[in-house]
Amino acid sequence: MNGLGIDRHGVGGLGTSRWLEAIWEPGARIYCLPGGLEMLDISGDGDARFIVADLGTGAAESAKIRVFKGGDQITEHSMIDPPCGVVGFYSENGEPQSALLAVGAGSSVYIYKNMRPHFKYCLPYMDAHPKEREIWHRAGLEEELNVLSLSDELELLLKELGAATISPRTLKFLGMDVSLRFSFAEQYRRIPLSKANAVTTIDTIRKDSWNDPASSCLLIGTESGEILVLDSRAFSVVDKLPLGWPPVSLLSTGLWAGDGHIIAIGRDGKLGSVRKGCALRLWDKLSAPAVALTTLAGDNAAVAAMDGTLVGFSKKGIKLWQLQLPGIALDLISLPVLQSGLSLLAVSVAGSGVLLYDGKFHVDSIKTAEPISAIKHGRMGQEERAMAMVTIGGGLNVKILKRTADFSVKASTNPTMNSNNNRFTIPKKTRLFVEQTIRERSEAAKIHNAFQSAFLRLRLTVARKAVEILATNQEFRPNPITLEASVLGLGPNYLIKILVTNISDGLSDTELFLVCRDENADIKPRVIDLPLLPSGIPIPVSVNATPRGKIPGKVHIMLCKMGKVKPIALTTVVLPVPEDDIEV
Amino acid sequence: MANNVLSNGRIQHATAAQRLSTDKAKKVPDIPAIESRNWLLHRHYTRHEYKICKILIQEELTRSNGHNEYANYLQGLIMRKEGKIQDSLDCFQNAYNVNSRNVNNVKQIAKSLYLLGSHNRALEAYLEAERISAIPDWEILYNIGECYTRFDKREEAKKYLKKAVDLTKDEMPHIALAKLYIMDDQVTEAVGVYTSALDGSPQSENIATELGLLYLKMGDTQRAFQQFGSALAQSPTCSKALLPMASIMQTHRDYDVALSKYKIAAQTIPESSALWNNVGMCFYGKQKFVAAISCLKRAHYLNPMALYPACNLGIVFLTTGQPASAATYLCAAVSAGPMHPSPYLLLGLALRQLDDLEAAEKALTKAHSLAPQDPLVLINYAIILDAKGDQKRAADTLTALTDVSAVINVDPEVAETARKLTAKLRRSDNSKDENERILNDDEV
Repeated sequence: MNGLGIDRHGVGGLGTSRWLEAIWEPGARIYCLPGGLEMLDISGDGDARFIVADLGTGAAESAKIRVFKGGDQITEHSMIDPPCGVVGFYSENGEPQSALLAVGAGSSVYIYKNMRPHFKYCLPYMDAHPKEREIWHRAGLEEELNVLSLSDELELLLKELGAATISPRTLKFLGMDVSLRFSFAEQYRRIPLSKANAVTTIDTIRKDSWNDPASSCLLIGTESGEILVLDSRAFSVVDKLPLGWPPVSLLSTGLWAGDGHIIAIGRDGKLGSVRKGCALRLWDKLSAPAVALTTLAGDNAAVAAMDGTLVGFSKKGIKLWQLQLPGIALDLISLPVLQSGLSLLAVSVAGSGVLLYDGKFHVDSIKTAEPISAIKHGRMGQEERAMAMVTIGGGLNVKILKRTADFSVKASTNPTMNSNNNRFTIPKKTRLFVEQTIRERSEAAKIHNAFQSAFLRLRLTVARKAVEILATNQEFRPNPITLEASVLGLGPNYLIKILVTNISDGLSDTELFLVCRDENADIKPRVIDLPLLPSGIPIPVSVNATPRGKIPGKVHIMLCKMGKVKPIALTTVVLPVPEDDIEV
Repeated sequence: MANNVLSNGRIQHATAAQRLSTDKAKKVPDIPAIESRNWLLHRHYTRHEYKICKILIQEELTRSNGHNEYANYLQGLIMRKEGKIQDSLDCFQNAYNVNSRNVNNVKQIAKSLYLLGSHNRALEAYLEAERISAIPDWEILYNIGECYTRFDKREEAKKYLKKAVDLTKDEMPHIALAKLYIMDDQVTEAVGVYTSALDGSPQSENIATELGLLYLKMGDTQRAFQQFGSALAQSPTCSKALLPMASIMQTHRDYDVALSKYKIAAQTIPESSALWNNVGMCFYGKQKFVAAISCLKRAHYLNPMALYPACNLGIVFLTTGQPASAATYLCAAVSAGPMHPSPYLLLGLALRQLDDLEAAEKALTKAHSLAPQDPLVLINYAIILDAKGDQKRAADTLTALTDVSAVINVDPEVAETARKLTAKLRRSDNSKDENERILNDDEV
């Protein structure tokens, strides 16, 4: 029972490709981010499904979990909060039937068995500030609720503590319209004050076995800056690992029962590892926030950062290598190649498709028409080597790695060197150049003298003009007003539209006016007084123009100031010859 | 609870605390955390999807009545990327109002102030950040150092940068500290900073390049070459290291290797005037004058105010026998670098070829006043003075040249010309004497 219809003749030119095109579903409309894809054999019948945490599109469509068999969707489950991550895991060692799916959303983790709701784990509440709790407690004890005093007390507390320590209940209460506050307070005041937490990311760690399928513990990253480790059978918290900052992404290596590490990455690029019973060991702070985190050849880790760098870290936290991607990284996964024992990295880069790296060496590129938003590699249907890619536009593309694919051959072209064809051109000898050179060799002194005298003359002219302007006391500062004129209409009556814009920062001069002049046309009105021009706003002015004869006329539009003879600015438009009257 | 259906009747397995709250909360909806979608904002932000991110931030800010710290913070970051520094400052202020204990908010306020140019307030904010930061943070210390550098308080700046350098392997504080040392002429300290930075992060091509350039300034070509080599081993297209490396090769007359380096660099910095200048001079060295002229002209076009392309164009045109073009470019070189003697000297030579002896003498007088010890200037000055008929000053200049050649090694060609000119002057002197004598004879 093969879930995938493999189209071996899909796209031309596959001869050299290491990939088989399996599914291309441009209309799948999946809105998904890294960490929102999973491949899991949900019923244990050996046929793995593709599970997507679709974030929905705003108000129109709510978030949901969608399950695909091949390219077809088989079920979907609506979610109230957008799911931040979806992982599959097993509760028992060696029992494929015990597959579970965990979805982190809001302040809960929803667990599905065989795609039926199985359990909902709610994050423990955080402690509210004692003062705030006290205020609500008192409000709960009162016979008659005094909303005004409650509001005042909470308002004061908010000012004192800052909004970050106040519970969402108080913030919501204070943000409400005064008339609604009473019913809200009445509804909540007898309930103990709580402060909800939120899930930021979700992952798993193997419990005690290296065999597949193995039971795993759930790792939940919380907004309060902790990692919760959840038992896979009872769904109770086994351990709490404090980080101090909310993790963006988690990665586990090793066995939880043994020396398992959890590598966590924070929003500002902090990267560290934590293990059972030990405090966080901070490795490094990345130069930019991380986009995605994944395993690199066994126990090491690779991080794609926002500034387009891809960094490899050893399991001890030592930077192994760093490389610059040719664009913006969108997702990063590790891609184990079973037949050769390699572990590659697949990075989705905007504009370059998916690039495959073996360590720091680029080995393959998959070109895609659209940028890939999220990637997942794993088992899909019966196929072990499927790589599912969700495009930014929501299309689903699945490719299968050929069994014969050989990555030992390095790709000859470095993706960053694509612009190699940029030629290094040195202009050749042209005839003109040669002629000029010959002439100069024979008559250098003459050329020099001619140049010098012309240059002197130019300087003289400039100096004379400057003196002239200075002598007549004219202002010769740059004109801060622009004129744009256009002719509208078919004729013989035209409309000239003039846009007057003051491009300086301040207000324009006063007493400005426009004059339109043309010998061959009647223009109405000829003189337009301009208002005070505000900075940067084009002021439209329209005049009517009718050519008197059949001669195309040039209309001079002049910007003048009262009391000055010379116009400040001038622009010209041409009135086209009107067509003869068309018989209608 | 909102989604109780999903609990699937197994709620009794939950912890006691949860049970308590869920039982009581049965009737009323739970109020979600203000921060519940921060992860979503961050994911979109890291993917540079600012448009979606801004919409989501607005949603979150409306929902939380502006009390979402992270949404405010992120909005500030996006505003700053869009160049709206003042708006970003307002956003970070909002984030600070929500949570005044978060160092990041203070740091970002300070950074925005710094970018706005109010270094004083930025410094205050950074000092405040340093105060509230639980652990010493090299970024804060580095930025305090940068602020002090702006005020030219170098000692203070050095103090903070040293602290920052001790905390991190990051290259930025190292480079800033080394530059300060270079400003104060403490070159050995600067070399020390760079070397220790390289020990910490050997793969940093920036530091290797900076160290190489420093060695080059110190005249230690060998070590400079080594540093550029290691920088290029890290990133073969790093133009900052390619250019000086190739120029070292060029000075060793290894023109073809230098050209191949320049070709790589030309892909990343095709509009660099210095690059095309050097390429042009490589061709000049290979006696390919047409290519040299076109490359130098490109360099001159890319930076018309630069001294070297203009001066080099002058040299090439003088070589190809085009003194008129040479004079034009040398005039440009003179106005680009009025304190350099060589453009004046070359201009003088060009004008001499253009038979403009008067201007040539003026140019050489200027060159002589700028470099009174340069043998090339002296010999050419003497020749021009002689050509103008001022034999006495020519002889004086030649005497000065003989004095100079006693101290330093003078090019044999110069010495030879000087010898010939001296002989000529003596001859004419003699003939002048003869003339006078004849006159005397006539008189008598």
